[in-house]
Amino acid sequence: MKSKLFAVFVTLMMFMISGTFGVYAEDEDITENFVTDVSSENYEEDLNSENNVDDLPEESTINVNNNVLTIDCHDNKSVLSGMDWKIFKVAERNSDNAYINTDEFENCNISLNNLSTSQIVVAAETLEAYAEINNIQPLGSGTTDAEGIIKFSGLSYGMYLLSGSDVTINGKYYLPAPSLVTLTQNDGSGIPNWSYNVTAMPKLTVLGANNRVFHYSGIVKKIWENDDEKTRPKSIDVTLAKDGEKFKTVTLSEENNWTYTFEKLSSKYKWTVIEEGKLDGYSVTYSENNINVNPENPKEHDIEYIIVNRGNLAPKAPTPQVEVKPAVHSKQLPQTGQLWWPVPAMSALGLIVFAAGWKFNSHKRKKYEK
Amino acid sequence: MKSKLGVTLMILGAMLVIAALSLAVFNIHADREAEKKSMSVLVKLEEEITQRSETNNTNIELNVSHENLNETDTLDAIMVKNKNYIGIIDIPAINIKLPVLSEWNYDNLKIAPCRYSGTIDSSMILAAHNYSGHFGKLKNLILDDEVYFIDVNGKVYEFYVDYIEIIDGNSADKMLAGDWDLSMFTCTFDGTERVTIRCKKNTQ
Repeated sequence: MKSKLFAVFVTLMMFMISGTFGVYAEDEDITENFVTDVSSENYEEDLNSENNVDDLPEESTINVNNNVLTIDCHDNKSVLSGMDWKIFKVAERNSDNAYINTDEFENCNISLNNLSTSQIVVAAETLEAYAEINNIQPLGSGTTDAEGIIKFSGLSYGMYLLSGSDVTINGKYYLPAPSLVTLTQNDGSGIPNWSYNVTAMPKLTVLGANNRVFHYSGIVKKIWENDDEKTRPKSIDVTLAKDGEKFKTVTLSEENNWTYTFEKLSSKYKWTVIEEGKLDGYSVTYSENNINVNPENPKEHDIEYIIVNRGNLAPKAPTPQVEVKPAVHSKQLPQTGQLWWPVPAMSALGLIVFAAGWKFNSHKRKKYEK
Repeated sequence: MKSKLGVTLMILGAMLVIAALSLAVFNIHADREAEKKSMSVLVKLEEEITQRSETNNTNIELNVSHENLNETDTLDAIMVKNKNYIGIIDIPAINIKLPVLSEWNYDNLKIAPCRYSGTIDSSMILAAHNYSGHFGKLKNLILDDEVYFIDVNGKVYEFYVDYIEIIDGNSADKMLAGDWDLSMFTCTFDGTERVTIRCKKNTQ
């Protein structure tokens, strides 16, 4: 059937995230140049990438189980075995050839259509961070074998996020960049009609041991000052921004004690917190403090984001800090009694002594009179 | 004819009686002065708590120590007449309502009950003189009597009397022992022991 012989081909759009994934068709050879930042001990390298596309079958059938997405992790000197990878399906393609975020990522404020190269980089990083923060379960996961290879099979068409974890090999710290991969066809039939085999080699960032990427907790705390608790807003929306872009919004209120903790924030990005809307009668200030600092590597820490809303009521009176030194207790409890016991004792004794003197005098007088 | 010894004994006896009366007058005076001082502070403290709870003013934050835990903590306080007060103790059964000072010393004890140990959230112990206007009537409390503590933010904590004991004046360890939400003590009449009221938080 001629209709079946459409120029059907799978567009393996290994979206090049600044060369994150290099792919080439059988007769193509797209090899990104090795990029070295000689100004520091950090350097990035784009690895040779290849994409092998099987011959098209004559029939428009496909057994997705035969499709394999292979990730090959190595650099010129080392095979990166033991690197964990997760794969997430982030979007489906509809009949209008537009990408629609899957349910898990529908609340991630990012559109996956008509992205420029630089936007793809941002999109991949954003989706990876979103998946981490929201504990989204991956479609599949695994670890590269002794050859630095991991394979994912049985993938349906759509857009996928590949997210790898860091490994340290031969004294080098390797961090793979997140990548977006689309597996699709362009015959317009909507029917998968050929299989794919993709081999991709991720872009790796190699860092010195002290510069390893880590995840931290971002603890947001809202403080109200100089206002009336009865008239202050019942809740406030606070947005977490990743590299300046809105990322996630949470609501702070009395119920959560005006605090929220964003978990698993990657140190690869700049995370900031800002409250939504403007509150009449309040000024707002933001500050950040590093807390829970790792003593062995001070670069690793959590961050406390403090948002202070200051009302226009009279400021509080100066509040001198009073330090109470730890009390040292002796065995003796404080003497908390008034000295009452001598009163009856002295009174009684006085009366007795007085009476004795009186008696003695009387006795003496009588004796004298006799 | 009067005996010299008789006269001496009579004078000595009279002096003893006068001394006893003087001590009684002194105690009564100190009792009334203490009551007057604590009432004066109480009025200002109540005004301040009301005003601050309306304007949401921040209180003084004190660093305090948990003597029995060897840890430090903070608690809010309001300064009145250069003294830091952490709240008000109210015991309707013996008709007393008194400010509570943040730390104890003998000058403070002349004004009001003092925090001896802990905080309101962690086994607080209060000490006070046995002035009739302070903890002098503590011995009249019975089990299940209600006790209230109002902190400087206006928050009311409810307790009930769960145990009454007499502790030797040299047994601070015994005073600090036990799992009680609030304790109060004062001297017995002869000053050698402490009447101690142990309270539990009323969770109903």
